[in-house]
Amino acid sequence: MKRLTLTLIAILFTAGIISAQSSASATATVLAQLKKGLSITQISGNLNFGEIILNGSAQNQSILPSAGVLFRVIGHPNKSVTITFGNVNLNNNDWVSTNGGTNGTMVFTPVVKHTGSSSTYNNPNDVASGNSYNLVNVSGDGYLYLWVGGSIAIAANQPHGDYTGTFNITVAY
Amino acid sequence: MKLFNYVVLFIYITQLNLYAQISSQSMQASVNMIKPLAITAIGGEIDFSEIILTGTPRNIVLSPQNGKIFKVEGHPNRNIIITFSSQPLTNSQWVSNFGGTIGTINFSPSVVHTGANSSYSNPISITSGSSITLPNSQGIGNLYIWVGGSISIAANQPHGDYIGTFNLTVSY
Repeated sequence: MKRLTLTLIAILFTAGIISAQSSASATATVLAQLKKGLSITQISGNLNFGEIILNGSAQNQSILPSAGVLFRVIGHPNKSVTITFGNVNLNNNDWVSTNGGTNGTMVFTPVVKHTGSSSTYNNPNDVASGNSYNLVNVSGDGYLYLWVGGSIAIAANQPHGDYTGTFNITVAY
Repeated sequence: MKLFNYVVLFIYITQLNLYAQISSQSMQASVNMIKPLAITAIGGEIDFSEIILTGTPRNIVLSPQNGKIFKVEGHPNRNIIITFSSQPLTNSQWVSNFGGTIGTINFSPSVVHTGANSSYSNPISITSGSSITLPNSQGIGNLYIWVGGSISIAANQPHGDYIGTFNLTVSY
């Protein structure tokens, strides 16, 4: 009888342990999207209108984007970037300061095109300031080539001298 | 004897509280029925979202409050052991799709609990392997676990979508 009682206790104890063991697991996906930082580099060209002989008449002078400055944007593939730029006021202040004469200003109006990931001027697309454009995937990096030309409007009585100004173009996610 | 063995067998199978009686002796026989553990994800994500690489080392932190929420159900007032570990994340799948360089980053989890409270108030930090009592909530042991964490990004960390799987285990 004593043996049976001990057996009963042992069975109950064992049963208790079996019931008390339990575990459960859950999983969660961890995600971090690391985006390549943006860079823009001037590859070639310039925005030099060269020498222009004033003739007393108003005139426009232009540089085609294909003959202007080429920039390369590198960032995250397939991510869109917003491109901003504006007109530039050129002046001949430095030239007048050095040589004398009359100060003058004129406006440079840029014309910007992109050729996607192509570094040659094929099938250019218009780029408007403030618009977004996708960076084209090239082996895991996002590329966009920007071509900048533009025009200047010369007044009939435009003072002579070397006119300079700085064109800024900004890309941002 | 045979009858008694049947009683024993019956107790073992049903695990009910019984009063076992024989002609000359008596004893109280009881079994504590323990509610098995369950853990369920009830909301949130461990998503560090978009991070723009800057070329300098950075440590990005996701608060547990903004991470993933798990609900543990088990036996009230019973202790459970909670285990988890750091997890490597890799961008290998992304590189396979888009190209680029394969990299890894380490996810270090930050785990807290709010007892039986499903809202994020008075969080208590949990270290892996620690024992936590399941608070009684109307006869059920409930524990809310919140998981955030941090990742360390190297200066030259390759870009891409980094993914890994975080595991959380609870046991009696």
